[in-house]
Amino acid sequence: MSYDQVYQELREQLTDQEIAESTLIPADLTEQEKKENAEALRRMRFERLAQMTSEQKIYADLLQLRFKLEDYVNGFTFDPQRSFGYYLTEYIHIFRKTNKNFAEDINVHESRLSRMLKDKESPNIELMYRLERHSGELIPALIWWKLSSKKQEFDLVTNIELRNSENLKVKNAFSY
Amino acid sequence: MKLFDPKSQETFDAEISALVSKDFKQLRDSKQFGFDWYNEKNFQIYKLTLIGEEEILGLMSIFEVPEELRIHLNLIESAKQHRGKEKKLVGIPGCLIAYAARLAFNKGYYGFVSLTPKTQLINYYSQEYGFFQYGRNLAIEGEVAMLLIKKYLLS
Repeated sequence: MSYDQVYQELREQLTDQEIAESTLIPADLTEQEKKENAEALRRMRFERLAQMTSEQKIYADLLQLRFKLEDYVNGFTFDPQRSFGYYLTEYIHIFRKTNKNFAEDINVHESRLSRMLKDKESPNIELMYRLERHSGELIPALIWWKLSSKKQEFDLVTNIELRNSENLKVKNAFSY
Repeated sequence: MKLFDPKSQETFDAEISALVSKDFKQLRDSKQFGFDWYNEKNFQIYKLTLIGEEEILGLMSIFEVPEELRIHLNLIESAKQHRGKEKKLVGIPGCLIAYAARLAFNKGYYGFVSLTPKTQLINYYSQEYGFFQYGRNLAIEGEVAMLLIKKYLLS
């Protein structure tokens, strides 16, 4: 059955409004119409791209980073490459800023920013609030916190050496 | 994302995932869908379910046009019991469209989602979801796409 045949069947029971509220139905186009429409879409798309301002690009790039971060922090796998420093580097790149200028934006010393970018220093909550504000609230502080926590969680679970050495410092451990 | 039951005024947590081949049997057996979703198999098909449940409430087929930085939305259908005046759950197509918009941001397409809907329904889609009309096509991008994501996925 073509899309139109199903649409005609739906119209026997539902109004157009009700159909539109529950489905999204494509037009049945001939091969020639499909070709012409694909060309019209292509032209329109490139016109829209050419009209985009740098602010609109930054807006979309920030949302792309946000959703990538969300997917990673909500996933089950830990990837040491996808660190706080890695994503912060991507964030700075969106604004095409030097580390020095960005450090000024968020009021941290450039050397501290450099350590965080190299994952030599962990970010604190204050910094996460500043990043949230800097992104115009497009990337919530909570996502940065979850990213940082993901590494802490991994370290906590896998640091056998530290666990063993700390175990030696405990007396009267409960056993059952 | 949440779906709303207008009768009980309750909301339910839902999720969207890729349709897998074994789902086609459920689609056939349930008789809840009028379109032949097997015909959409050359596209990416996503299903909407309540979290922890297998019953498919809605479906969407899309394809990517990477050289034009866009996702094209082909077809969306809510299960029969979620249509018309007696529909049990509200928000199924909105969640699916918002999901396509999120994918379009994620892919670096600036949230651009296009569709070529039936002419008779163009005005409804524009009013309901904020699509802009370009000839026989509709599209969302940027802030409008994010508004849909906020409304349907983040609320």
